Amino acid sequence: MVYKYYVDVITMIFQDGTLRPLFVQWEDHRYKVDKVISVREMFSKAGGCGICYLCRMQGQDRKLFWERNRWFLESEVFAPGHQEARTPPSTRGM
Amino acid sequence: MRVSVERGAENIYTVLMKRIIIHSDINHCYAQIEEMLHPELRNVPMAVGGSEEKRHGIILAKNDLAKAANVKTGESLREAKRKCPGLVIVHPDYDAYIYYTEKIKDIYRKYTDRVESFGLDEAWVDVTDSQKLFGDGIELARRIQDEVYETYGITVSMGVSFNKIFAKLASDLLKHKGFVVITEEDFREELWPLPAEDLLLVGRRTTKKLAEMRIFTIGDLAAASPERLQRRFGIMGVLLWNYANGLDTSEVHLCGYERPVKSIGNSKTVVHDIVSIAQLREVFRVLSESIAARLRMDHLRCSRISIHVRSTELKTKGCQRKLERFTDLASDILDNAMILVGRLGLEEISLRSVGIQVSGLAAGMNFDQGDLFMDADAIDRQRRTEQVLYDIRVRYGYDACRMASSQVDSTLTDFDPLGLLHHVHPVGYLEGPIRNS
Repeated sequence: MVYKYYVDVITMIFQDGTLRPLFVQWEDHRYKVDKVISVREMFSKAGGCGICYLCRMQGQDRKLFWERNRWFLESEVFAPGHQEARTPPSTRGM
Repeated sequence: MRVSVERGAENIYTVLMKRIIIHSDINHCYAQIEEMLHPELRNVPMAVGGSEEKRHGIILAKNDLAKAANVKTGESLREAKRKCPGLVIVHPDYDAYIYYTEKIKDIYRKYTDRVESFGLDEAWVDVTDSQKLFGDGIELARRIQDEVYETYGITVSMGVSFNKIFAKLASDLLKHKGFVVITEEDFREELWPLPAEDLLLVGRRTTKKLAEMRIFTIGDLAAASPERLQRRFGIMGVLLWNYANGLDTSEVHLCGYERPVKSIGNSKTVVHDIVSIAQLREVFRVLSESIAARLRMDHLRCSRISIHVRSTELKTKGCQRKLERFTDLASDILDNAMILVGRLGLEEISLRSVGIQVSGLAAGMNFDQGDLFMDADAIDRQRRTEQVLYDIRVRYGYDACRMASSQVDSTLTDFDPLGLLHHVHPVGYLEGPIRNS
């Protein structure tokens, strides 16, 4: 089972608009992204899709997704209370 | 039907086809996008639907588990819940649907400049000329299908054929990442045994009329004499005959092509039933103000107006009239709508949804002949008034300026068809007059 967590990411935005994640902020810790191994568009098994940055952090390979306008991290660890609540139903189009 | 074409560099079917047109259809689109965003919904019967409180309570799309419980698109939420008590209802998020369907179409646009949307979830893609760059067309279609799945986790069913009509027909044959190729050689065996209503533009009424002529399958339609069809259906008959025989030559439009507007309409399902002419007039006022504003925004004026009303028993009535002169004024539209209401002869009023549509559009401020007793200044004044009203609403919100009469029953008129609402309408296939080709 894979879970997704929306996270704060310190990101370098290059002149051509491409992104490079530098640090991932999780609670009080700031984890350095040591290396971006690959970048491709794909969907996440935990739900959602976007540009997937396969990153090496703390000696582990983790998938970091750029989804529309924010980042989420895929993880096999379940962290209670960090799941995003389902957005309330939209009333647009009604 | 070549369901599984061997993968290889050269494909013999491609050589046989003059044009390679793909029709792609995102299977139960809204439900699938919700499942992609929230995978846990895959394990429960789920449907995307409106809100029952606001009486938009119908099923818009459903997933496979809901389908297995016999939940049908278009039925009321209450009906669906009765069939399947554990049904999870998700409210539609049109923003997400528009975003992801556009992203999927962006994949098609990487391979060709001929991508024509047909609603949110369907598109025609012409890859005839892309073959020089990307290789065999049928192989390319498969690659595109795989790429959509790998990138967005969404399955599309594809039909590949030599014209748009058969491509659409083929994509409907197999759901769930279906892939069907219909060539000029085998369409007679594969498509002609199918019922005539599977053909694009053959609806419920046409099916009934065709059955009266003893035409039941697409093959029957193709074998019928075009003169006989023309006598019964007019020019539509010839068109259908062409479709059935695979003679459709219409092109897939280039990206960025926009259909010219032919009519503008607004309708509203009200929160509680309309029971008097006065209430109907207030709802119509809001609708006609929005239509007039849209006309002015597009620099258009209309010359025909039609209304439709739907009673609580879900019976629809409607009628239309031609105006003496072109107009873009809400007051004119409202007056004429009320004349039409009189003509409908409603004895007992109990209405659930009402709408106004204007057509016969002409561009801009052309100078047309007025009659001798027309007060040109008054029209000009009225237009300026409406424009000011509109400007105030744009700047300060819709509620900044309202008719006192609309406050009598504000629950009825408390909606803003212009502002934040986003209507996603299905599109028609024919864009203009039918040409004999």
